[in-house]
Amino acid sequence: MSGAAHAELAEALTEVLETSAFVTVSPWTDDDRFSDDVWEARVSYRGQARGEMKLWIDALQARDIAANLLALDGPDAADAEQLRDVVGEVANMVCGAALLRLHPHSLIDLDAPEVRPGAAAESTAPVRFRGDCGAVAATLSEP
Amino acid sequence: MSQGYTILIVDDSRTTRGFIRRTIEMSGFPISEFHEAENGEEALVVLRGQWVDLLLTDINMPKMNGIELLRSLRSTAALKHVPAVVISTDGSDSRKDAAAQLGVSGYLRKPFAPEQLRQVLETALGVAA
Repeated sequence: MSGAAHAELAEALTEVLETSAFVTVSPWTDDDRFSDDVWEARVSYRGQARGEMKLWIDALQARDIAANLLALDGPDAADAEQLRDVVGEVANMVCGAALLRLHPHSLIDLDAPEVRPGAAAESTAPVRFRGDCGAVAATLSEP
Repeated sequence: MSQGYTILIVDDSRTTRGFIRRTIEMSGFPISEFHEAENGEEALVVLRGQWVDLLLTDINMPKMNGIELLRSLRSTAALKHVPAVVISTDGSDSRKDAAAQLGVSGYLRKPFAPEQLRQVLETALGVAA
């Protein structure tokens, strides 16, 4: 994908995190790192454009997002199913928002997100941010 | 007139239904009761048994999707006047047009802020801001 496409993905990720997940997003610095506990989500899409978006969220950041989205008592209140659903929902929103920017007039269907814990974040992902409680990254690829 | 509105949220994800409820509550929109359904079939069961002021529905769901639900709603005399709003990650014009042809009162693309959701609810229900 081009730099312009990644810029659109970065905007989409920022919009979702700030608008729906109530996360303050800061630019990635050389000092930022992912922890060893990361959630990964993949969303494939097909139709007039096809490809795949991947999202990585530090587990602590995912817990914070779950608490924000679901009005839980705190980050530790989310169970594993809620965390999986929240990471999938965030990935779904980011992918949809990115595709609307990249292919505004195309009819595209998104597959259900595939979410897994304990993933290793892609250290070279072109879109990376620091949230309130951990790192977030994304990449998008089209054949 | 009751103190608030009865809203039916239709989405196959329990988490997403919770997120929508949370956002409505944050918006300050007056609610007396929430009902939830996992798909169009369940939504029709709720609608036939309960008074609902407004339906909020996703598009992509198993068993009966949002478009099929809206078609069924519009072809059922007792339910055809229930206002419906689509909430979807898909903000393309083609999806919006398909929903508009089925008489939806609003279309909200995710992500959305609480105030955006409130505005759509007020418009769909004809409530003065």
